Amino acid sequence: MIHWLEQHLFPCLSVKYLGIECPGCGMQRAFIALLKGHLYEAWQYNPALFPFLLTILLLIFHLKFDFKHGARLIVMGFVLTTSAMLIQYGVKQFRKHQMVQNQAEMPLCSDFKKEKHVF
Amino acid sequence: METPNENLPNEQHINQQFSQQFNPQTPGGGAGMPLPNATAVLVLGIISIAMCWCYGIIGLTCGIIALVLANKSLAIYKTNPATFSQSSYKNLNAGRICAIIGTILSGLYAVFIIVYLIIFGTVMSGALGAGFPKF
Repeated sequence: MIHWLEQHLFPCLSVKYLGIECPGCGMQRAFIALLKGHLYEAWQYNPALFPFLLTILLLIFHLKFDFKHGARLIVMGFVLTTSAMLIQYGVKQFRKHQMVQNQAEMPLCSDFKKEKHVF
Repeated sequence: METPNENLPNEQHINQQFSQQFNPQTPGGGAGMPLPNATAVLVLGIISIAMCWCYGIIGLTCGIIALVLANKSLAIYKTNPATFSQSSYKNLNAGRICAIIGTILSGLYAVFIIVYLIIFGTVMSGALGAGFPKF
């Protein structure tokens, strides 16, 4: 079952055609890691998976058993999920940006200097 | 002799029958039948945020459909609040809030994608245009 899921991952359209990650990227990999039991790996892939799964479970149980404060709890879970998604997206992009800067700082500078001397 | 009221049930009787059929136990407190599309609005509202992989288009459509359904149901509820169950009204409101958040976020994401495409396109065309010979 897990192997089948691993081989049939749904590709993210924005990564495939534009090369930028969407806020939900890593959710499937995180879900598979969670199925395997690797909690930390799942957290590293996408921390927003946990509140998302919580919200979905809450939704299913609420629709079945109709809790008294179920609707309010679902809204809270939803807000938690969206904020987690946005925060993790921001953190991921910032880290990537920093990595790119650290790697590419020296060679790019020298290239620019050479070109400036030419002109 | 039977009174005509017993033969012809009035609105309250019909509503009670509906509530017994569709919603035997309402923990929310109110009696009555569930609002139309309450669960659909809730599910669509939550799905709208999970669909960001498609440039926010599916999220936008889901959110907008949920909002339209929610507004219709709210209009129905306001005409006769007593006939509908309180728990489905709560569900509807929750779904509406989720749909609003989802619609706004996926709309922002779509705008972001469009702006990114425009910038990318101008940069690429500029780079390509520099390579072309000038007449």
